[in-house]
Amino acid sequence: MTLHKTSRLRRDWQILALVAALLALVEFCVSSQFHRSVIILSMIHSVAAVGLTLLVGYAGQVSLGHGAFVGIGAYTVAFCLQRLGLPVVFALAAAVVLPGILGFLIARPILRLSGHNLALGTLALGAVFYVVAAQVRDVTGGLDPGIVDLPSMAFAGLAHERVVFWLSIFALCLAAAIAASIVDGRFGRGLMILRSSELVAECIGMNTARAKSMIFAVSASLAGLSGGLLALYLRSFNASAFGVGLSIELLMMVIVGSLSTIWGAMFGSFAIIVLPNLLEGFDQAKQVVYGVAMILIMLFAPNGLGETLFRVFTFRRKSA
Amino acid sequence: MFLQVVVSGIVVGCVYGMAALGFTIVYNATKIINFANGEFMMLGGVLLAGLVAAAKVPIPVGILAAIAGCALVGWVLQRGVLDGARNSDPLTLVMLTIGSALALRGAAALAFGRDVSFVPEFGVLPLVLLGNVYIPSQGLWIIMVLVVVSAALWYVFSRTMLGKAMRAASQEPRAAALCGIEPRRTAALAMIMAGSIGGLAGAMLAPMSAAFYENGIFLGLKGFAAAVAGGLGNPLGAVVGGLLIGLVESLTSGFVASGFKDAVSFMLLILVLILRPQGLVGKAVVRRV
Repeated sequence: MTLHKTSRLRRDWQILALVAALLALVEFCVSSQFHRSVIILSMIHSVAAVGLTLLVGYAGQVSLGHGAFVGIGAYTVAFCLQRLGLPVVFALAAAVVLPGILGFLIARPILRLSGHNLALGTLALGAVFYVVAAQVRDVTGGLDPGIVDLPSMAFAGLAHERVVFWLSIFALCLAAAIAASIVDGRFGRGLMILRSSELVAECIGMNTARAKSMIFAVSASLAGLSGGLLALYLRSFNASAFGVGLSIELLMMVIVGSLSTIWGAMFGSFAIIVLPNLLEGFDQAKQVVYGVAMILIMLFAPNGLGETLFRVFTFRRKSA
Repeated sequence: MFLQVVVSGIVVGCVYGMAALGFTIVYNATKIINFANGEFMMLGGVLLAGLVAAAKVPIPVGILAAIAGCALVGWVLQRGVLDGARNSDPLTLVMLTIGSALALRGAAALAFGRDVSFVPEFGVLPLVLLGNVYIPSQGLWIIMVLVVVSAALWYVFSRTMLGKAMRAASQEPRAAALCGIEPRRTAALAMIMAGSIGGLAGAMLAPMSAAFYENGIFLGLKGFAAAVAGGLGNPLGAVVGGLLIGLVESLTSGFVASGFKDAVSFMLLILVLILRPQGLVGKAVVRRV
């Protein structure tokens, strides 16, 4: 794996440039307000999904509570803008830093758990956040009214949606760049060893507790960034957006995409956000379809649907 | 006031105890944490509400139908989904049961609508007044059902061949298989039992708190909290854990703030997982590497 390190890194940068160019092109071409909002939401969720891929796919630590960090990011932005009157840049920075710190602090105790218990613990953590966010009305506004009327992002003649679109492209590329450089580096390779065997990782001298906390913090930061963008884009939201459902949806994005490359997360987020919006009347059957899709994917393509399709496709091409 | 809060805690705790029992039986048989367990309870309530309110079926028939329906769902879940992935890693299994939970929730919403529905109280039993503490009739029903279910389970697991086979398969799957105990069969049986207990619990709860297709998530988590607090895999612990979670919740909402009661039991779950993974009453398990 080390032999191909440089080429893999270069390939990642190429994909990143391609994705950025494609998204920028889309920004100029899309005229429909509806399409624009679907793409913005997909990009925003991608940011969190890329972070979750690092945690679940690379380090092998499942989290069913990442919706909480998205929520913390969103409320941080709202608090900074409305109460402290800070500029947007600082608000977004706070939305990255605060969840990161919280994630780092929570990670040490919670990542002592593994397997089922970790899934349970993080799920409970997400549920606790939801209950607290719905109850601490001083900061969050609870379920009703929640946060309302964040300032518009319209800037230098560009409409709110266009500014958020560019911001999301930037955030997504930043997230992917960070993720790619982590994955291709020494730390990322260590994480992959950690995933296959914690014992081996410790035997070769890795500080596993530290590595797990670090990667949890990184993925929490990215979730926070995604939440911050979500707050900026929606301008009004309440705690129900950050329940257990969001955490499961994020995990779905990772699984639909790929457990072993960060690009799968983007594929997954677009699939999860775009498909329901394309199919008319899908909302009724949304949960059934999600659930059945999840079962089928886990049964037949446990490495992620995107990756399995990619493998099948490339294998066929090579053999032909 | 205090005693009244304790009584309502015990009643709710009995429901959580039943949720935890289903969870424990499945864990013992397959070592799977069934994230769809809460959905059995949701289904029990929604089925009963649908049958009684819409189809005008008498309540006892409705309860039996709800139990049968949930048992069937459990069987399908085990045979159709989990059997195919018996040797997968925990993440895959967790995701499979979560996927099943989502599908069940969605199916309930499609079949019975997204409205909150109500079931009349079962009646028959009187409302008991002791001093100034009253025990609602539905509460009495719930306590009685938990006692009956626990006694039945105790009998099955300690006195019948079937129960002994299931215990053997959970303690030493390989040796049990060599003795002719088919693991797939015990797994399916466990899931059927969990489904029926969940359905029954959900049906019992429906008159006290309305039946709703999204009830499953929180009921499931409470059940997990109870099972973990009692030491995962210990049926007696599950019941005790359920009562404990019910009491803690009820005391929190009575004396601290009602909005935070869910948060308190989930915090308790996290703390027990981290500090005493063997449960509040269990002995520590040393794992050799």
